[in-house]
Amino acid sequence: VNAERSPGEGHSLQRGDRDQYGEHPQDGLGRGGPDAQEHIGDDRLASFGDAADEVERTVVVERAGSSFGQRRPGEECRAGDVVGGQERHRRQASVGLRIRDADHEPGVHGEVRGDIDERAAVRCTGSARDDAVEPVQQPVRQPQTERDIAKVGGDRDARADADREAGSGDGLGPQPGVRGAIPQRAQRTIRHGPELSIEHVGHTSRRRTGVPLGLVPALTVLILLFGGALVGLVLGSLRPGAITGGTLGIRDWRSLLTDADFHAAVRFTVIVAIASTAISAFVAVAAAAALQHRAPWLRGALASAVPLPHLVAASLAVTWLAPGGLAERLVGVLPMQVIGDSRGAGIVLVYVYKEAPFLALLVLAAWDQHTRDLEEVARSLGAGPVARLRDAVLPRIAAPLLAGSLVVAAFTLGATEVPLLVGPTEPDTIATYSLTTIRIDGPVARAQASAALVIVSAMSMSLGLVAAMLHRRKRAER
Amino acid sequence: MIRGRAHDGVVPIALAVVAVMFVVGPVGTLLIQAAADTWHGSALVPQGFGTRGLDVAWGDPLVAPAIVNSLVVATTTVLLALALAWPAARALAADRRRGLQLSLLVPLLVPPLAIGEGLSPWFLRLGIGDSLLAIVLAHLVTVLPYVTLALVPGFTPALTELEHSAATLGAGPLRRTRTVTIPGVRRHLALALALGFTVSWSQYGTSLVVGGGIPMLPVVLVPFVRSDPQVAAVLDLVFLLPPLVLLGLAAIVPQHGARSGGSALRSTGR
Repeated sequence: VNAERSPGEGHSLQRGDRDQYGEHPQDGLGRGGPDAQEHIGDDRLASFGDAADEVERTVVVERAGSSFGQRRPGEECRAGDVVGGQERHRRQASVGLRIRDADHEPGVHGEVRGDIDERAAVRCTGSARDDAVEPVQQPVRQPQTERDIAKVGGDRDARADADREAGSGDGLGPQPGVRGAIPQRAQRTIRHGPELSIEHVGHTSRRRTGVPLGLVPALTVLILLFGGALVGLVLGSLRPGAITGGTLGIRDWRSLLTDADFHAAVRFTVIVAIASTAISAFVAVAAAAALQHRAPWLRGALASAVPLPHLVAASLAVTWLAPGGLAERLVGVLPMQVIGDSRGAGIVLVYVYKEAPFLALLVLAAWDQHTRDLEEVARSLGAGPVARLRDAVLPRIAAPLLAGSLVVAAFTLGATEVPLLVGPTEPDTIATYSLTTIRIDGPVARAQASAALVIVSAMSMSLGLVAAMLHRRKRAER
Repeated sequence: MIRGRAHDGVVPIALAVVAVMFVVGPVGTLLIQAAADTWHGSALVPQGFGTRGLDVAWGDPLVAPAIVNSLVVATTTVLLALALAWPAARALAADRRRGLQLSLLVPLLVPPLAIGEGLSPWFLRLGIGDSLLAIVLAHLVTVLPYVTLALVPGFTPALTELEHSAATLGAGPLRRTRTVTIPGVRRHLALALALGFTVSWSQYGTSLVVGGGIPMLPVVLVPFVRSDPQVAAVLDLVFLLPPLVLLGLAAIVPQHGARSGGSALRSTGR
């Protein structure tokens, strides 16, 4: 039935039926033809025997709302199907009521939430003439029990079920004198309700798969430029001027992979990236732990560090920490040479100065009242500071901290300006290695430089992939 | 209570430390260094103040064009990014698939130097190599994700409802955009513009590789850091000014509230 709808119709309520005249959908029972099937409710197929089961599985529009659009006991409405006022109820006979049982509750709630998310879909539930159907802000959660189901048997619809049940097999109408008991088929039909509902909801909150139209221009530009850059980089690494007609080869890759300076650059880059990220994360957690109260104030202060360009931070580091710099003027000779340190102390220091506030902001955002409540509970149970941090806080802040750390690591792997200004002459980082190679050997070495950049790009993107996988796993766990 | 008092004592100190480390310290250092015409030996305070740094910077044939070029490139890039990001952010806000938003972050993982190195052969082949347009396009790869992701939270369901209401009341697309949408997203719009400008303004690796010999402020600044710290400090201040001003302005743009929403509705003719 759903498939036959035109896209604009959207929902059964807009089909225009007898409901708009205030009649209960059940009044449609007994009418023949395809339309009659749409009026067949969750429990009205019972009297049609086995064939009815098949119909039940194909009919996706349920129109078995009780009078005045109110939920019957034992039924669960979609979140959006709530009635605004008594006058409106009469015009809203079928707003997607469906019958559920406890076994189907999880799925049901998933659908309900999905419907809440789909505001447009919720709105579709309203009739064209009546916009009184208001979305519900909270999902309806009403566990179904056998007792609830028994109630169903108590109302008018259930009596009709009983009537039909009594006459099942070949009876198409109620059999007088058989009332009260909950018909088996009616119960089974009730349990089948969610199956129908799932299909129905699938129409309104179907998982989207395509790219939204508004995103197409931006994605096209990004794919062209970013994809072009990656292709150009790889082609350039295979042969300088490959795009302009040179022949491809792996000669420059060979010379790169056998270059001892490149090996040193890879080692140095990885060490600097790991050290910068780990120390930044540690400082961020320590700062957040010390300052997480009054976080709004601190966020503003910490946020002021974020727009400071890396270039300016590196320049400040040179002003303060270079031999004869401000730090030496203040305290005398420094215990170690920071700027130009061959172990990368200067680079790490600048990155920690720049990235720790960024990570602290992420941690502070996750270190919310709920986390503090968990800390209090742990404290009341006798946990010490380390245990509280490990068991109550870290699980809460781990995800943003990890994601932020991976971003920081990806950045530090490929950044140029900081190693150029505060790093040593030797070893290079991979990025400065490529610049140095071009500067020393000229355009001939461009392919080798490109190959080095391909490697560092692959390393950065791998970290991004890890972050995405962790994010996905975290969501799956939730 | 005791804990509260303890935190009351800690917070001002922490704020002072943070402010000194990240705001007062850097700007103060740069101001003193930029004005220190004479600063010999191990003296804590410069022996003479003056405008030598400014004079040398201004007299350098590359500095003024570099500032102009950087301004032109950053402005063009952010406007271009905004034109593309606006519909993209609307779509992302309505779609809610996290994967789509995360996919925009992929270009940010690749070092800008690599992006520039990969794009420059194409630009040379297209005949736009070593031009401002090439730099703009290269910066766009990095700026566009930031601008888009900064705009997304602005397009809330409430704003969409306001737009629908305005449309119902007869407001055309332009009027809706002017009176409802832009006021509704102004804070995020300001942040996106400031962020996008800052990112483009700060690009070093891309500008160096794609720009060829075109002077850009970060490229011109780097050699001065070790050769003439005073001039470097002057250029650092110039370099720091637009991001601080823009992000400061973006931070004080008021959030679109219920009252302004009401006025937006009223202005549509109700």
